Amino acid sequence: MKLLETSRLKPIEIQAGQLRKTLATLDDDFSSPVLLGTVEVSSGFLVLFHSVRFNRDYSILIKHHDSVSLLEEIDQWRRSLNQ
Amino acid sequence: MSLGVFDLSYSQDGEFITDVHLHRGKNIRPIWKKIEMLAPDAMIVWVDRFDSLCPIASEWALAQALEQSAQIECGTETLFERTLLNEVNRLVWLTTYLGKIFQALAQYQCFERILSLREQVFNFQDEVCGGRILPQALCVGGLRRPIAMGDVQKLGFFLKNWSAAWSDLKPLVEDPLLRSRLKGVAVVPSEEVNNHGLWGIIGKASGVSYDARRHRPHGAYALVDFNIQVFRSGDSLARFEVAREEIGLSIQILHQLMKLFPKASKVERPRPTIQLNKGFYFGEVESAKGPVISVLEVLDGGSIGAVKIITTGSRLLEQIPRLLRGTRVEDLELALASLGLDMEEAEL
Repeated sequence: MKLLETSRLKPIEIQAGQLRKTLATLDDDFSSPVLLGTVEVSSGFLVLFHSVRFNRDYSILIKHHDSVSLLEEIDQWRRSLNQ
Repeated sequence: MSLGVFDLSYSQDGEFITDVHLHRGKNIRPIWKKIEMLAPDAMIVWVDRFDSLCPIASEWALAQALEQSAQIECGTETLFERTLLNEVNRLVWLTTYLGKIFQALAQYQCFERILSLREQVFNFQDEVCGGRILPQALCVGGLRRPIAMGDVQKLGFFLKNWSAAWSDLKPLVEDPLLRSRLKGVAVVPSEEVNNHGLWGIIGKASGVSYDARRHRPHGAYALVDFNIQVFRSGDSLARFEVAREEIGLSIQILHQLMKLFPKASKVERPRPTIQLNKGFYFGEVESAKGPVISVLEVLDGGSIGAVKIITTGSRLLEQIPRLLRGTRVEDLELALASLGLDMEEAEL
């Protein structure tokens, strides 16, 4: 499983409503990510993705001002894929 | 209608389902909080409870993450043993899956016969691992009870009898009436699979061949030859066909593993000391229902910050209201069974 070495990364600070945009600026691979799941960890959330384009998996450590709104944002993202 | 820890309710217009609601019930098992408090070997044993139909994949995925953290490399025998147990264990999920479909179609003769096959798998697991349904087979760096050459011979006898019983069942499974009942029910388009990572049996039935045995080779999978069967129509019939093919594939892989199984090393290796290092670690193992991904956070001093297993099922669940809208009311039970949701995962 190829994942970003999350432990060496500082958590990414994301403002409300900026999740998708912020991730897109990190790496071209996130052009069409599949959200695999989220795990609440000691310093925020670990968000797991799969890149369809490169057939690779990634994890990003996200620090958010409000965990509830982060999860809502992830849900919104998922819903947007259905439209 | 109960669906794991969820209750499912729906609205209908007399013929079709117009809306589906999932309500989380009160019987959520605090499995992760419990596992976080355990020692590494006990964590692996306990994670069986996450999914009693795919316990080996859950154990193995968590073992991978723990072994990365402890910087422990498994020997060749261990990789073979785990692969072998995983393939045997896949038969539990696959037979249960087909059994649920037969039950939804009121095909009780097939239902009883396929569950009898599942019983044989449980018996084999009991004999080799000492655990019938929850094998509790793995530990960090190896297996709690290593597989001996005698166990491999037992597997040979098991496979011979099991394959013969499965062949006897095949004409019933290929019944055209049964197939016509499955055709066109609960279609999952390939875009849905790609957008939401609905891998495993659903993905393969909708033209997406993702399979961690091939794409993220683990254990001895890289050493065996096999092809992933893919269907295009994405309906219940295609998923049924995938499950049937996957049973044949597991038998084929097990035969190859038996031939390649390394002779036992004469030198008993000492058990490595388990010292977890800080960081985030992951594991991925292909279960019969799709890839099982483990996530592990280790804090300073080796204590566990977080542990979780992520599966296709949790992603699928969120799509259920949309996927079931427009399904004929009479097909609801069949649709749920064919999506593999009427199953045993702790978080479903």
